[in-house]
Amino acid sequence: MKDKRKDLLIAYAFGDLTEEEMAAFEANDAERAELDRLARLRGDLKHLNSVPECQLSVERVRDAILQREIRQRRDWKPWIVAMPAAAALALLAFFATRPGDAPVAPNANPIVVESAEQKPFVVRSEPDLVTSPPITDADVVQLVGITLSALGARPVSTDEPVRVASLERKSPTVPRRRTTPTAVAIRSESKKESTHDRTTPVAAPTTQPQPIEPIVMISNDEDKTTGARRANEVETSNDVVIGG
Amino acid sequence: MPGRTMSSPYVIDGDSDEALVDRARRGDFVAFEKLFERHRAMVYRYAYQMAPRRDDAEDVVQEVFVRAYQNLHRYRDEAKFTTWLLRIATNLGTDRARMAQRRQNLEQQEAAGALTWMTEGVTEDPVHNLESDRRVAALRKALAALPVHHRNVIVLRDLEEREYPEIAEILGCTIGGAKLRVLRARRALRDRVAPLLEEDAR
Repeated sequence: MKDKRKDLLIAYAFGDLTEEEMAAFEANDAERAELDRLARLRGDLKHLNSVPECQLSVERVRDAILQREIRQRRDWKPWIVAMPAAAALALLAFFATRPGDAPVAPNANPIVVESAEQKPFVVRSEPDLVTSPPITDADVVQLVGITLSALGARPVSTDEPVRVASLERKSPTVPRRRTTPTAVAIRSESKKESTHDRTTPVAAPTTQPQPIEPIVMISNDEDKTTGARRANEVETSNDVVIGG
Repeated sequence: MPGRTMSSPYVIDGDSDEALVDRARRGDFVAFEKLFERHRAMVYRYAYQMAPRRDDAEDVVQEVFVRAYQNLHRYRDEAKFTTWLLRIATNLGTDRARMAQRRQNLEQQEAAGALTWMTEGVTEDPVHNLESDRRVAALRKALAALPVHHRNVIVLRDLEEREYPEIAEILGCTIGGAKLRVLRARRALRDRVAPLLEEDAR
């Protein structure tokens, strides 16, 4: 008997065929014997359905539910959740406070600054800035009484880049320290040596004022405490009369 | 998990499963107790067929209802409550049955002893009753020896007499798939029970 036919017999014996299939079904003697066995099997299976009475009580189920709740609460470990959460917060804070990642407004116009040596600074004015209108000759005449053209100035438009003339820093004028003659002598000696050592000519140094040698004037008066003659140091000899 | 109220004067026997589930979801534990009392026997019957020991079967029933209570919020009204319960029982019973198969010999001995009183004959003819007892005992052995997935569908279809759409819903497959599984399981049972019956007849 083929497997397909066996399956059909099983379906027939267990009542899984439709009415049309049942009507069209025909079996030979061997198949009828098999159908009897299958029908007995089906009937015996129904006997298996009788089981002893369930003695599980409502109270036992209720206790089980309560115990499960208690266990779940006891097993709840907040640090398992807290640790990754804290790590995530720390990462978030780290990335949020990085100075290089400061957000830039999408419509902000860049300010272009060019080098002072090759090109002067160019500060492009932003178009959305509210600026005052350019100063005209009439304004100057009204205020001062002379024209800008007389001064060689011209009105500046807000669209025009502002040019900064020079970036070179001027060295501030620092008052020179007073130097002693010994110090001057040492410095002049070292200057001479360094000039001799150089093999390649260098550009002349910028004009520096020569150090003024102080003049020490020794008077005839004696100091009361030490008994020695007094000495006064003056910076220039303009006001000193020698031999007088 | 919903809060619990131990008394509910509004629960009556005529309430539908869905109404009781709705109340249980809102914390009415008495409604859930009603559901338990209503369907305990059905779940127990299934569990007993899958693991024919009373203790094991009762453990399965308890676990099924504990899980059902804990997951009431997941129950959707599209399926019958009994289908949902059987689905939980199927998942649970399958796991338990696989574990229990290792202790198969011991269980069968115990089940055979416990079932002597259950397999009482249906007729007054003692010879017929004896033969029937033998067949039933052999069948129970054969059923217990079947793989779990075959036993599961035999119990659902031929013992519990569930319709194919419901079996498909319980198993999470199509109706055609459920029919095919039942057919294969019956064929396996038939092949297994034939020598046992012949042996008993000798």
